[in-house]
Amino acid sequence: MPDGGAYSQYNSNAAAAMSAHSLQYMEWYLAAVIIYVFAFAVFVGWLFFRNRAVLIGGVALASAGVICQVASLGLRWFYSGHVPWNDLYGSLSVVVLWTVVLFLIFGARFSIWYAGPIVFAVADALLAYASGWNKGLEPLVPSLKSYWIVYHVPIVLAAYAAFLISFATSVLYLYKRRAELAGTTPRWLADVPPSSKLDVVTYRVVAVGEILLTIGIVLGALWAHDAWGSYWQWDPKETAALASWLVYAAYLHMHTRPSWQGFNSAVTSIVGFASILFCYFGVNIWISGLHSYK
Amino acid sequence: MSTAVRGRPPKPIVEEILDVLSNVLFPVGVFCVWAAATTVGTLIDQNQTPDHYYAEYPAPVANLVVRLHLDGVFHSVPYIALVVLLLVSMTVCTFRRVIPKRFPPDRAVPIDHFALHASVSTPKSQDEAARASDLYLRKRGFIIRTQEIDGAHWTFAHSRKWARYGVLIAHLGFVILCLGVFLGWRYGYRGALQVFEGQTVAIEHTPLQLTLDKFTAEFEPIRTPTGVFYQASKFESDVTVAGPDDHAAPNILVNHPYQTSAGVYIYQASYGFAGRMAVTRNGKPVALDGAQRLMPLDELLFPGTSRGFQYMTMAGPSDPSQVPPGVALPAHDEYVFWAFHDNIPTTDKPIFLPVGKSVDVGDGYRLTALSPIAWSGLTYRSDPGESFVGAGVAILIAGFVISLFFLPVKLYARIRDGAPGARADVAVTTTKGNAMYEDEFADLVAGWRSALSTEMSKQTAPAPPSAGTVNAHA
Ligand code: HEM
Repeated sequence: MPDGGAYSQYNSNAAAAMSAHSLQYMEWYLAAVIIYVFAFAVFVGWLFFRNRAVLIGGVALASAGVICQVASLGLRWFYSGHVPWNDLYGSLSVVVLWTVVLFLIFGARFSIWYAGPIVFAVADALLAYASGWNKGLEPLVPSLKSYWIVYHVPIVLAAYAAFLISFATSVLYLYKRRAELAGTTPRWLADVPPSSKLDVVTYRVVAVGEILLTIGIVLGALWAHDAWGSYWQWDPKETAALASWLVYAAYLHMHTRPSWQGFNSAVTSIVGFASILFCYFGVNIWISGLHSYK
Repeated sequence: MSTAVRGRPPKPIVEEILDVLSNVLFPVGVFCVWAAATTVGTLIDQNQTPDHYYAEYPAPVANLVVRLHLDGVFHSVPYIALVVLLLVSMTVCTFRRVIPKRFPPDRAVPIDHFALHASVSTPKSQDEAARASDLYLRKRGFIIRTQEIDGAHWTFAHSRKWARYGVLIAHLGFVILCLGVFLGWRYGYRGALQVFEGQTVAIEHTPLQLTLDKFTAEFEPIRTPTGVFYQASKFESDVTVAGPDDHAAPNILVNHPYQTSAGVYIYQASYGFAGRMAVTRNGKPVALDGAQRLMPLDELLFPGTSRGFQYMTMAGPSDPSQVPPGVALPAHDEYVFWAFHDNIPTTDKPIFLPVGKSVDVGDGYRLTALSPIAWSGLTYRSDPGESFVGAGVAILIAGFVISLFFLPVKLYARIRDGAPGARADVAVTTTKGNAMYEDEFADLVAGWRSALSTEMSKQTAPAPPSAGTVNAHA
């Protein structure tokens, strides 16, 4: 075992190198933050001007942001020697990356481009907020040194991203429904599909999110089995994720009843997203437990 | 026709209860209550003493926590009762709704009463049109049966009929998962071991003995704004596990448990270094119980005196993680302790005694610091329900995928003679309402129309009809 002197030597060199590397990945990161602002603006434009050029512009900006984020996360991975989603900063970046990727996929599949403004507003706010949690490069604590971190974390984060998108479509549902009931539709809502379509799209996205969340929780349980000696510990993160899972299970059952589709389902989906935010920020930041990685 | 409004005869109470239990809104309610209870359990620290809550929360909240037993939500009877309630409701529902729910039968139906329906007139003859329609539906993955009814050609088709079992499978998965959790709770056991290097301990509930042969810890320095601290990067126990059926010498690390032949898992949980001191009085060794394995706050008394010492901690390179940030790491291990006489410390500051050095502590007693001894905290666990839990979640996920992504569809098509040419109608119903299938139906109808139209056979590259021309009613 090296003595204290060797430690401090290692430290000062490493710290200097780390800050230089941090600057590199931060540049790509900031580029993504800025690009998403433009993507937001272009998708706001899409609500008013339904022409192909606007859509292509929005998709191109979103893709450019994805590339910058991948570069940033990749550099962080490369320099730290471990997955970049070991802390709040890294994992929030991944949530945003997944959000944009899923938005592009759902956009291509279900034409949900009209959800772009809300999706990019929330996602970019999260991304900008995450920079405050950047602590540079740190080694992994032993409990995170496991190949499970490679699967469990990104899948749970993908579920959060899907729920962010279903939150956006649920909010749009509420606006659209109100407009339909009032009989006067503001210009920005005019080309958004009717509320019955928004309900279906929300259901489809929630279905993807709930399956991802189930798989993510199961992978976490397998990991806990290896790391803590029990697949379920009633740790705050586990219980908060269970609460979210239950809200979305309620949503899916509710949605099998035609009379509970639409408004009730949209409200439940929004409550579900609030529970996801609590699971993510509440538990990481305020509640200490085995899982509070900041 | 009677104008009197007659109330239905009241149902027997058992029927009423079964109706409530098998209503989908029942699990919706239980899920919501369960989620709320789980959130309460997340917000309130669990399993603490009442003092903790009074220190942490305002008195009324703390009173509430203590009186309502919110300090142990997850193992409380009401909480577990929610799961039991779900299982009961799910069982009732399975027999009353899910299984009896049949696919609609093959019969002539009033096509325009369906929310999703479309019609087309074609110059093709009835036979030609029927053939084209059936061929197209087959191509779209429908399984079809045809029948002549009153001179019309009827096609009864279904697609993804098997996916109706998705709900059943998801529910079955949950039942198996609960069964596994129950088995683990009823027949499993767990425990913790604290073993010093060289020590052998028995593992309770098993015939096994475990010896810690060697313990290794590695540390990494972390630079923070408040200074450097050291974080364990790896700790590893080299152990020997011996019993009637086992003799193995595994290395147990965090994330790498060992599993015995009987399926008992042994995990690395914690570690530490205990102090070791040689005690002499007037130059002669004194055997003092505990002096070979000193843990923080251990107090030892020197026989025949009113003196003693209290061991505080070890600081040094063997376990640098104990050094607070910003404090320089000592070059060699040293012990921190208080010596006292009649319960009064003999020094203003604690005594720091490096390994290899000695100090007089009064009445002829002398302490010599020996190198520390490592201990490893291991936990062991046996859970006979684990494989059920694993199978349960796998089935649950499969059921989720089937029931959420595959929509069973029943289709009716009727081709009638339309004086010149033929008239064709099609209608569709799904197990999840119509909105879910609207877009796919529009696409299906677009293809069906072009399959039936004559232009199809003339044009080499038919332009797909735009969505606007599709006569699909929602
Ligand atoms: C944690 C436990 C449960 C899980 C994981 C679960 C899962 C599912 C899934 C995935 C679906 C398909 C939803 C959809 O098509 O959108 C479903 C449907 C359904 N579930 Fe559950 N369920 C659970 C508990 C219950 C309980 C306790 C009941 C008791 C009444 C129930 C009754 C139903 C019914 C009636 C349907 C709809 C069947 C239909 O009409 O299509 N479920 N469930």
